[in-house]
Amino acid sequence: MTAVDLAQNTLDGLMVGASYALLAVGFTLIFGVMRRLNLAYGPTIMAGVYLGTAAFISLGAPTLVVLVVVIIGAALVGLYVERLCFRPFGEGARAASMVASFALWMQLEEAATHLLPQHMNPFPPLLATQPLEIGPLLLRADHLVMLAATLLIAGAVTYLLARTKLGLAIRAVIDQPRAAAIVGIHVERVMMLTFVLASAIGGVAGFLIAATDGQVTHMIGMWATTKGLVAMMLGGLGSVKGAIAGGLLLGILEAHAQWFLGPQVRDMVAWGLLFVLLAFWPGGLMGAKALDRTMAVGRRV
Amino acid sequence: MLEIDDLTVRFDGIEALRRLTLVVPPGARIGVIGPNGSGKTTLFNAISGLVAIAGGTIRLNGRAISHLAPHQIAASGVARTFQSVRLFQRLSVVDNVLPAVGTTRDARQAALAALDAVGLAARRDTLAGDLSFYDQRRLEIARAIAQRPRLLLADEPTAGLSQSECDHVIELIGNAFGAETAILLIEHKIAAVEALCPRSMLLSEGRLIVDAATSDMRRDPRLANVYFGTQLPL
Repeated sequence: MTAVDLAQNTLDGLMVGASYALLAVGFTLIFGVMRRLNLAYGPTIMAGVYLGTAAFISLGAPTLVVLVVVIIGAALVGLYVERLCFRPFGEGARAASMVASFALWMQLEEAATHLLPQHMNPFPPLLATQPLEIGPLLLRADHLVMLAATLLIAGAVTYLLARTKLGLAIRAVIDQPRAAAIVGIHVERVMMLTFVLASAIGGVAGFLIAATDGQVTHMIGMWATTKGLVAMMLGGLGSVKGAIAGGLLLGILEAHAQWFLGPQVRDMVAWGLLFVLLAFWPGGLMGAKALDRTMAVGRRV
Repeated sequence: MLEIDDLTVRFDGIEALRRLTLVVPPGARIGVIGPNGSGKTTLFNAISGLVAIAGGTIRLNGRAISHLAPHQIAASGVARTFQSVRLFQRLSVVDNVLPAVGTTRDARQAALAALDAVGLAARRDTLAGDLSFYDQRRLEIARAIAQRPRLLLADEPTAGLSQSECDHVIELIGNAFGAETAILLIEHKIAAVEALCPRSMLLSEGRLIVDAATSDMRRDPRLANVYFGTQLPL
């Protein structure tokens, strides 16, 4: 393996990792305010992508319109998941929320296969240009767009959390939901808005992933859940910066694993990494404090 | 201003509050005392909407609030502090107060004024979790001040503090809220209640046992009976 191979793999991993990072940001926002795992997060994204695909196939919608349909579709389906799986159950009924989100996962997959019965469906490509050459390295333009979109959205989410009234309310709810309610914050509305925001971000991720592949299957739902989950755990529960770092790191690790060990073990490496993390480093890269607090909350409940 | 009528709260069949009736006029300062498990914090939780009530009504300025969500009750003028301090530990001192200010145009100024009232304005950018316990207590009071409440529910605000800190916190609560703000103060330290509240209520096993002038409470045999577990002369 040469230094060029190493650099090319790292670059490829970084680009793919950008999509993982976006998925992890959505996951971590939902986990932060709900303190519960949403297994239907990936299928929510899949539902948005399928709605966009249907608009593309049936109506010949242009790429930009498909993007809007995917984002709005994912946001609305996210709202549906929140209403059915999270709103009815309190924080003390975490298992009920998780199982309910699993049930909706199955429901959304079935609905998707009814909407588009073919296993593989075409998706409008983002950019159809030749790869850029940077010295000996090759860089896909659509991957570059994905990385730029990830950084842009991460910046926007960071600004929202740090500088806006909604962001302050989100941070307050993440930190201490009971005290947030006592000072007049409508906790349920903040949770709902966060859920919708995270689902819309997931929609952007789903669009970028499908557009760079040029095709889509309903497996994108499970894929998004697993990749987003591992990236979130790697970076740390409840940390946006951690989610970005975790996503990028996962992409890089997978790229090198694929190079050294072959494509068939790439996902096994990701899952193995998750087990190692849970066993030895449960707080992730940046979320140790968040996890401690969550466990403390769990003890109180 | 606050009218509680026949209030009952149950947890898994146990009656934490039993048909409690209480009237708190505007500006009243009332101590709420009683041993652990007597229903003091449950009373506060019921007023602030944190537990569901099984029976009775709670009215604030003539409006029923028993069915409202906690944020709606807060918006109607009820502020609360907790026995175990509940701050936003990973937020700065000023960010802890800002959500309580509401949607006023000069929200930051109002938040800083509340911090100034408790002596924490200079530490506005410190993380709440990095404050000393005493400062955390004061920050929780600042948050309540920023809400400009008509009713303050102070749940053991001196718990865990030294005597001088305790005296200062009671003085702070006494001076920082307007004369029209009613205060219910849960305390185990009778001296603290005496310093702030001319009137006191003694709870036992979810019932209101004594509602009297605080100056008479020390001499009331039912106080000792409740705390030392002897038969109550009801």
